[in-house]
Amino acid sequence: MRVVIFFILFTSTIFSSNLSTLYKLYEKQKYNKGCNYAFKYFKKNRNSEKFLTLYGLSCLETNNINRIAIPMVRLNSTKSSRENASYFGTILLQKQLLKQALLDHKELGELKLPKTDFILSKIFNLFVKKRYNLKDDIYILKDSQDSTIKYQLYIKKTSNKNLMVVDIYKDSKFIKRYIY
Amino acid sequence: MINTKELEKRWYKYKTKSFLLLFSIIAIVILLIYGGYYILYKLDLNMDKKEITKPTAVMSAVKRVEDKNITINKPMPIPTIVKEVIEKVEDKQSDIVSLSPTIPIIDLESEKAKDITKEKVHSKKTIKRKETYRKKHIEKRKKLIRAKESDYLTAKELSTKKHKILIKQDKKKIDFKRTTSNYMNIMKEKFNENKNPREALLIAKAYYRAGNYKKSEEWALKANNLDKNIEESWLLFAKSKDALGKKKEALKILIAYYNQTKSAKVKLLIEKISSKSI
Repeated sequence: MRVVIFFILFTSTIFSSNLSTLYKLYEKQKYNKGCNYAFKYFKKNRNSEKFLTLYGLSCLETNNINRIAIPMVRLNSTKSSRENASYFGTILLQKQLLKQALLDHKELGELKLPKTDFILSKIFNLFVKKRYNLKDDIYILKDSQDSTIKYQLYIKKTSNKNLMVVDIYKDSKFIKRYIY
Repeated sequence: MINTKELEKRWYKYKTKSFLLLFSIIAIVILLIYGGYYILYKLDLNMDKKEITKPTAVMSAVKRVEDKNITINKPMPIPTIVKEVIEKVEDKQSDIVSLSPTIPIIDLESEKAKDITKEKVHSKKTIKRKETYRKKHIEKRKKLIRAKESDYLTAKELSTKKHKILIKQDKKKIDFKRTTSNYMNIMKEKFNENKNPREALLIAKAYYRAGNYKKSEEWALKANNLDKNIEESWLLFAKSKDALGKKKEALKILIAYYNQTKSAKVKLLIEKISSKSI
């Protein structure tokens, strides 16, 4: 009996579909795990739009935001997947533009891009409208909808890379950090 | 008499009335359907009215005037509180999320069912693959030409035979004879030629190993006389003295040497000899 139970559990873990496991990870908000899992099994599930969407959504919440480019280019067949693709594309573009503005002091002017509910997008809009305070090369931005939330945007220089860091504070308490 | 003309008129009137009623009902229904469709699908309720009524041409004209440095009555500076309120209103108007992700709905049960079918297919495929492999393997075996049975002995037989042979064979004994006497003679000859303290020490060591402590003491002393700085010769001299039962002398020599050199080896030997005596 024990052997049978073990065998069932073993086979279920081995043969459980990538989509369902990815969905479970996303539901549990284990984004890092989910992103890595999706990255690992991308080749196997590259034609599943649901898998690709979840891949992008879980990587979006991690520091590996550049990975969303992979599912982005493959999301094509349905209306919702196309919407998701443009959603990913917008965020990625906003991130790149922000980095350019911070590193090369590129003027973003009155650039109008689609708005999203993602934090990086909010920061981008605030930055474009120049609603920030600059202190010691750190841009301090206030959330337009929730006044208790503040963002700190700055560049962290390492030996190899220039990393863009986003720190989120709520009631002046540190909540989360994204490093791009 | 019945007035047919009047009757006809009345009939026409009745007919037109009924037609108009029917037409109006149909028109209203069509209007309602189209209106509903338009409201539901075509009309964008979130449309920004500002964008439609934006007087772009006027704005550009104003800009041009500003460029020409013509003085215009500038508006009053807006206080910060009002600014914040305006910003908030602007945000409310403009921060409408235009892009949002649509999270796919995944039916886990159907996924499970798919997995089970996949598993079945997979197991069937593996079984088929195994069967085909087995068949191919058998066919290959059939095709192979069998070699003639060898007349040679198998490994097992060979081992038993060897074992028997080994038992029968007599064990040869090798006699190891010590050639210390020759060694000593050669070394002594060498020492006589060179008068090297190292050679004297080697001879002393050989005597000590052989258990001839008197000779070892003698040769160690010879080495000491030639070179007083060789520690080993001092140690060997003391050891052979100790072996001869002259512990006090050995200790005296060692202590004297230790006071000069403060060697750890000498100290150890002193401790060893003294513990023996206790």
